[in-house]
Amino acid sequence: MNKRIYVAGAGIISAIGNDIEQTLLSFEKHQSGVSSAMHLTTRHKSEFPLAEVKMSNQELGELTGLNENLSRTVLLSYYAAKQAVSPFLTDVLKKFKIGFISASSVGGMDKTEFFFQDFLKDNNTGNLRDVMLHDCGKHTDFVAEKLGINDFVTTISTACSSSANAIMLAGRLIKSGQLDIVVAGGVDALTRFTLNGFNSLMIVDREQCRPLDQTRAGLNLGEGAAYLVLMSEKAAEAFSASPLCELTGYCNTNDSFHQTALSDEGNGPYLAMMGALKMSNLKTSEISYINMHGTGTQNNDNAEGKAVERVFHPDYPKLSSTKSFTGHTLGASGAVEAVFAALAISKGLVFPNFNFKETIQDLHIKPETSFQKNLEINHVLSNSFGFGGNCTSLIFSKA
Amino acid sequence: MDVFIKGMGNISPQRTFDGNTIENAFTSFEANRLKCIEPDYSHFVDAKQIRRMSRVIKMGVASSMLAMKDAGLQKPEAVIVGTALGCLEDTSTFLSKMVEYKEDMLSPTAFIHSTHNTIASQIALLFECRGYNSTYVHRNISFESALIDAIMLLQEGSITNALVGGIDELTNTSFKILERLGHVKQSEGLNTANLYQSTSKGSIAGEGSAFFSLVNKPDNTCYAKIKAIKTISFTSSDQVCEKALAMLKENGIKEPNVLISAYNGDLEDDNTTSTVVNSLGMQSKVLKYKHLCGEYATSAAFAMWLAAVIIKNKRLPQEFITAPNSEQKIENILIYNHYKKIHHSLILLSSC
Repeated sequence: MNKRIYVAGAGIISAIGNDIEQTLLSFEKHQSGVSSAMHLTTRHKSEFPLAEVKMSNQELGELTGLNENLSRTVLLSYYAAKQAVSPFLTDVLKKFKIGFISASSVGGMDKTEFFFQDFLKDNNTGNLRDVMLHDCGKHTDFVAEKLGINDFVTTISTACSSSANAIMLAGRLIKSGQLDIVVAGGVDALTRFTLNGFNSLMIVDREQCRPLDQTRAGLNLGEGAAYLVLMSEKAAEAFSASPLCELTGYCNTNDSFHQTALSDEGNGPYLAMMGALKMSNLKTSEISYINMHGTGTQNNDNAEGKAVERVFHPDYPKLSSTKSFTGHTLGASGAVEAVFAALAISKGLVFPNFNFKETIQDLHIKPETSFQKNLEINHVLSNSFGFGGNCTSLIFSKA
Repeated sequence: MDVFIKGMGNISPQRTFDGNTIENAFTSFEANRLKCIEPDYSHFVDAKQIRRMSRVIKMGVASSMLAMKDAGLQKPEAVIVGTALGCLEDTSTFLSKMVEYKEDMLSPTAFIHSTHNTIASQIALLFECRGYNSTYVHRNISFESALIDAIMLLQEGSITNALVGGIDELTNTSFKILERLGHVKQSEGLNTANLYQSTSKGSIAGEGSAFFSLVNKPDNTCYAKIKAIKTISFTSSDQVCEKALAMLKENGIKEPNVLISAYNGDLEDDNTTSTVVNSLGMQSKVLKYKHLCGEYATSAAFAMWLAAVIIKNKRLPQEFITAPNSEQKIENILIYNHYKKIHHSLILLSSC
């Protein structure tokens, strides 16, 4: 049994930057990644702003040295995972049991969409190379093999909480002593499938989204990939890594109310936050910052807000939703925001919530609207909730 | 800490839904595509709900209800599903409409039910289970990943029972793609009974949904004990063999009574399987199962169901009885599965 789970490294690519440095700069300059679509081929291009990674597949191919015809999911995943692992690619690594756990909601759907256009006209057409990239496990295998990780490999798909669950599983495998080091996170690329899916539910905002605001009108879809390198105490010592933070709490629940909506009382979110707090042995007053799931939909922000009130009222920590910067990166969002949590602790930061003006009626939640530095951030709660009622809360603490 | 199989529900191309028994003889088919023999779903959920559910969700919900009923438990404390391809029918429905209507005027119904976690969340809704809930989607070790998670949860001690299943559906679209990829044999002259004599490429396409209610404390109704599980990726047959021997040794088993193995009739896949079986020296222990359920990513769940039934009965089903094993009491079974050599898995079961 290992007692501690260290976060030794992180890698990220999203609409607000291709690495940690660029990401922090975007926050500091208050520059959102939500803008007119450049790369996704869709008839809704002019209708909905998107939070795209600011590179074409060709550019991503050049950047990674990979074939640009791979799924965008593979390209993004490899780029972020490599970033996270790079500092640790030494001989020391060979002494440890290593796992790669990734998460995605639609995997290689970007390629399947093109396959289907031809396939529907004639079942004997459509490029099989494209459809071979369809399944969610494809990118995981590709990246794990390329990084030489083979002690444990798997993929999780629980909609928008997918990569929070990947991080939680990584923590549990380290705690139980089955693995020493785990690269865990997730990825999703923008696709017509998801844009049209969320649009058919009428929860995509035509303007930049306004999470936690009374006037909010839906989410902006984003894309990206993010990974943490989690280590046991023994592994962290061997690398003499100075950890960004520790993973001290996690809890996974199901809201068990509706396939695409959270209960009014936010039961699943409430239980997830309470479970994570209990595990990390923290009082609510000890949480310095909450990175909310905060999608900007009517339902999520109401339910999550309600659940946060049930846990924290009347004394709230600083809180914000960063999805107005990154868009909702679906299966990647848990990991993207876990990287933000790690940065908040290691650098003493709080991230702003774009476009907040008016508190949601009947709630007391007031998000931070500015980028704040030089703070003492000891414990960060990060929420991820998804379709199907899948709720996961993670708590990161100063190492 | 060992974990025990207390209840099972299996919907497969064989008539397995109405009892976890090997007394009913298995059927052979003249087909390269096996379809599940499904129960009357109105015995499980009301008509209004059934209409909204796709076939894969109905199979998942019904087999999980069968497993819970079989275990005599009211509510699962955790729901964990392994599915390589998830809700394929709804995914292709939404994709087709999106192409057909040129991204306009789309109904959300198929999209809502297209996410991989729909099965686990429908199960949670049905049982009003607010506990741990997850879905693994890692190719041919999706079920094994779910099982590793479930066992770890029980060992962590926060729960006393977990519902875990492996499920994948075959659709017209996915079958067509498998055919084009050369993963399926020609149907002409093919009989599942002679699958392993075939020397051509490809296997028979299958599907299924097998769910298990696992508990941390045995009682006299349990089927079997799960002693160990391991997944092994991107490696040689030698490595797999080494891990299998280590697993047996760790669990004090010199040689399992039966080795349920990955044979699927595809020349190359079967060569890989044979290499492992031969280096283990267990040729005489082999029991093949994919002629019963077909080849699909989560077929290890069917294999585990079969192993658990055999262990509970302490003997082999009629059709598998060959001279060396006929007299013997069966107390432990090793399941070895792989597909295209990418991921291998080992599951070790023994009597309670």
